[in-house]
Amino acid sequence: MSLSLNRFYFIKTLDFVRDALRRIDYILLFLLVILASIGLLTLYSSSDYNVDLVLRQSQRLLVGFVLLFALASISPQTYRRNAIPIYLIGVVLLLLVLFAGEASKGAQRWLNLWLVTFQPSEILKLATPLLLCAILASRHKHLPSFIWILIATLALALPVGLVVMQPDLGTGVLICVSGLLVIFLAGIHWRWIALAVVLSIALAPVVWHSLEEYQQKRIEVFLDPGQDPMGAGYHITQSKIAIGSGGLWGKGWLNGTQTQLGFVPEHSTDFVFAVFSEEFGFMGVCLLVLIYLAIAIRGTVITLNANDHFSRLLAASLTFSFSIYFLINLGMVSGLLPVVGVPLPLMSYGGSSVATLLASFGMLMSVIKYRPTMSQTQ
Amino acid sequence: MDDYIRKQSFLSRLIIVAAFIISFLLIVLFNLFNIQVTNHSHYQTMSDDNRLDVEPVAAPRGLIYDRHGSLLAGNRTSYNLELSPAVIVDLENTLKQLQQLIEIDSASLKAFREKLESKQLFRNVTLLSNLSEQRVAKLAPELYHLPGTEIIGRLVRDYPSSDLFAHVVGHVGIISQRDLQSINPADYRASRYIGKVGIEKHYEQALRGRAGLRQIEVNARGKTLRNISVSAPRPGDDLMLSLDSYLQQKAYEALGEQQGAVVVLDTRSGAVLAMVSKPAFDPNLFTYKFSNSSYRQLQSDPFKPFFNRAISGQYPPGSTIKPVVALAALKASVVNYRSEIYAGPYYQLPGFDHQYRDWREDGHGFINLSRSITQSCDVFFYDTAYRMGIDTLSSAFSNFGLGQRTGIDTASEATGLVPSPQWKIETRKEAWLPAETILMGIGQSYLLATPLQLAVMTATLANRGKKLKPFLVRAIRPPNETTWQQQPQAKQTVLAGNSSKDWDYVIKAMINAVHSSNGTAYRIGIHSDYQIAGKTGTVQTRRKLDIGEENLEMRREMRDHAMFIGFAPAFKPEIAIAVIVEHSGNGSQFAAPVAKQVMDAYFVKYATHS
Repeated sequence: MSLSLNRFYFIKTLDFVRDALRRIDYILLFLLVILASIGLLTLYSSSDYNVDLVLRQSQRLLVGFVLLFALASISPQTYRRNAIPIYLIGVVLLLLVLFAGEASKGAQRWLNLWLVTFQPSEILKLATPLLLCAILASRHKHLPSFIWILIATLALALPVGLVVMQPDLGTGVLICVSGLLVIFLAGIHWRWIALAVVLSIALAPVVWHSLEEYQQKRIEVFLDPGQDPMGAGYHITQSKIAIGSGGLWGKGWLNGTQTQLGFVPEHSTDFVFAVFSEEFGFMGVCLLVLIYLAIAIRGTVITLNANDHFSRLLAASLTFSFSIYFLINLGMVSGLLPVVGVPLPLMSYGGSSVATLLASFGMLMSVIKYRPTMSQTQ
Repeated sequence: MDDYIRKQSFLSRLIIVAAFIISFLLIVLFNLFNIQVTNHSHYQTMSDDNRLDVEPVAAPRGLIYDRHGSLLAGNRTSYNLELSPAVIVDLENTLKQLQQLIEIDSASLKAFREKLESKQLFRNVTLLSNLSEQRVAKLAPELYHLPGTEIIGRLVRDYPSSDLFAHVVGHVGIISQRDLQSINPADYRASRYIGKVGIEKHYEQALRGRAGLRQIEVNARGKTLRNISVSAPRPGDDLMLSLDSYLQQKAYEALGEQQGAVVVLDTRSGAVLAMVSKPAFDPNLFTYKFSNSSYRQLQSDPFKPFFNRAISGQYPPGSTIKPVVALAALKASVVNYRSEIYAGPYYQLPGFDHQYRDWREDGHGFINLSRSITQSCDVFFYDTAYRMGIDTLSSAFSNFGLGQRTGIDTASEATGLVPSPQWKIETRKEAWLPAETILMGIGQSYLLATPLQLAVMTATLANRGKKLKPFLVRAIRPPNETTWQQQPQAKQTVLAGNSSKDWDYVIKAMINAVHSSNGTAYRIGIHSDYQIAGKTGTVQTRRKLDIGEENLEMRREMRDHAMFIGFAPAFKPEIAIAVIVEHSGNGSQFAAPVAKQVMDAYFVKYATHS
């Protein structure tokens, strides 16, 4: 009796796994695995041949890919229905972090839960755009009205504000960008956009004064890296030297002197692109950009094939957020943007961001998996 | 339909976002192309500047040998515990851990902290120097746990004979602020030491060689990882001195615990065979044996051990000058071989009451020039000097090299002084007194000479007017060569005006001073199996009347300086010697025996006399 029940659950699980595997977007998965592998190779070089570190990152990637499979097998409608609870859980955890979290490097970002420590802000990277998609995709026959735009904006402002208060400017910027993307794509009237631009220019000084001193310093140094070459400008100067000295073909894997001799700071995390560029040169950079571009294009294809507005918005938001993360990191490391602490997607060392990214691709795949043609056959 | 409108709106906005992202991607790529390809060489240079550093490599200092090739100054490895502040994160903690491993005396710690403040961040700072092998063995395996600490072997100067050649070879010392004004710091990038005195100072240029350069790779914390390229240093030139260690040793021993100097010259070349000044000190004190307390003790020693009496000490030559006065008097025809005077216990200037006393209280009776030298009759020379006049006297002394540097190839030679009426007016604003002329006849008054000058004067007497320039370095050997390059001989000057009969006459008188029973140095001549020509001197340092006879024997600094000059063999001279023993008494008793011991050593060793 119990044996047959066990057998029943076993077959059910097997079916589930088979189902999940069948509906995975293998092109996207292949690209992600390639990217993760390049990331591990670069990590091996940047961490001074630290095999333990590479293995730890591999484990995280593995967890991330399992998460991807799991989230891919959940239907977009389930996400839509649970958007509000997920969002609320995220915000509550964020509040918990602010009052009971663990400080690391002067910021309260981490929450210690039973098994794992993680950053609730990572949940909101997904939960916020998800909620905005849910809000803006339903309940209107046409484009969303002003009142819904306002609600969406407030729903976006809350987590962004909490994350910046931690303070984690980088993640705040990323959540903000992904939310704004949804609002823009959902069809905000151009008039409101113009108004928002005018308002943000007016509010810029207020925001400036609410920033922490080190955050202000980073922006100042970004505007003029020469003002403090051995201090705050050191990061960006050394990073540019690493990238520039790589040249067209690079110094070769494990041969980047800027990295190996410790001149590039944060070379395994936010500045891993500098390591890659130094060792693989401009040609390597082009190849890397092509892989990212291919992922973005695949994401766009999924977006265009989505069968309802919610799925479309969600897919577009996740795809473009990913592309923008990538571009912000490149801009930051090569001196085009201020150093705001945005990791290079899938290549920077660190658990939370890898898990979140792969989770976001799981959600993206769920969109293609539950296209009407497929659900009809089921 | 609704969905169609929403989809159209969405698609147009999607295109806008995509266009925005693609344009930003193009900007990023263009920027990366600029950095990596267009400006590659600029960043490549900056990358190399980051990791490459140039470090000087010390050149081994040239070695100094005596004439027979025994080492007088060499180099040894001293092991230092050095800390690089740029690498150490927590200096206090590192120091605390080091103190658990090894005893660090408070003086070293204090010196370390002082150096730490004055040095550049990226330079190593020495904490402990000259570690013993046991301490190195104990410390070396532990330093692995303390980044930024290392034991570094550096060459330091080593003087194997310690005190024996202290003054003449000289020593090196740590470069001082004053040294920095006269040197090009680029020449000393790799070295902390510079020749301070003696040969070490005079031949600094040749001895120090040229530092090499090493291109090294460093990491972001300034730690050296490996050599990229090395241009080898050029070691300093080796020097072979004219000194003979054996004679030096004998002269050193002969002086014993007394203060004084001995200079021995080879009369045939002017080579300095021995040059001793006492008291001496261990020159290693300035390199690896350095300790503040022993240095201060030596520096405050009333007998001034750092002072090189042989070339920097200036003494009235006393009666040793009498042969020169005799030759000048013969040249000026003031006396001849037969002229005699009656020498009583004292001399009086015509028309004055003051009595100038002879050393012999009952006088010498009727005496001629020859016996006046032999017996060192003062009254005869008072009279002779008075009749010659100061100008004739002064120029005779100058001809023999007094009052001017001999030009020996070493540092800090004093000039001595041959006074003249003009000199006295210029420096003392007083007129010359006749009394001063007659005192100069017996080598007193303002007359001053260094022991080296007296030795040169003696060699000139031995060579019958042929004056040689003394020298210390015989030959120089450039690095990596096996043959010594002989130093060129200086040209010699010949004093004119005296016939060879004059020279015979004076030299015979000097032989009698040593070998005849009434000679002042008979005590050394009586058993000598070779012929010595010599002259004693006893130099008053205080006027007897001022202190009273009874105190004379009791207070050291009141006693006379004992002097002796001489050469041998008298008719075929090989060596000339000048000896001064400070505040000991008369020259016959205290200086002549020193000279005899050195001469004996020479003839035992070289045995060329017949």
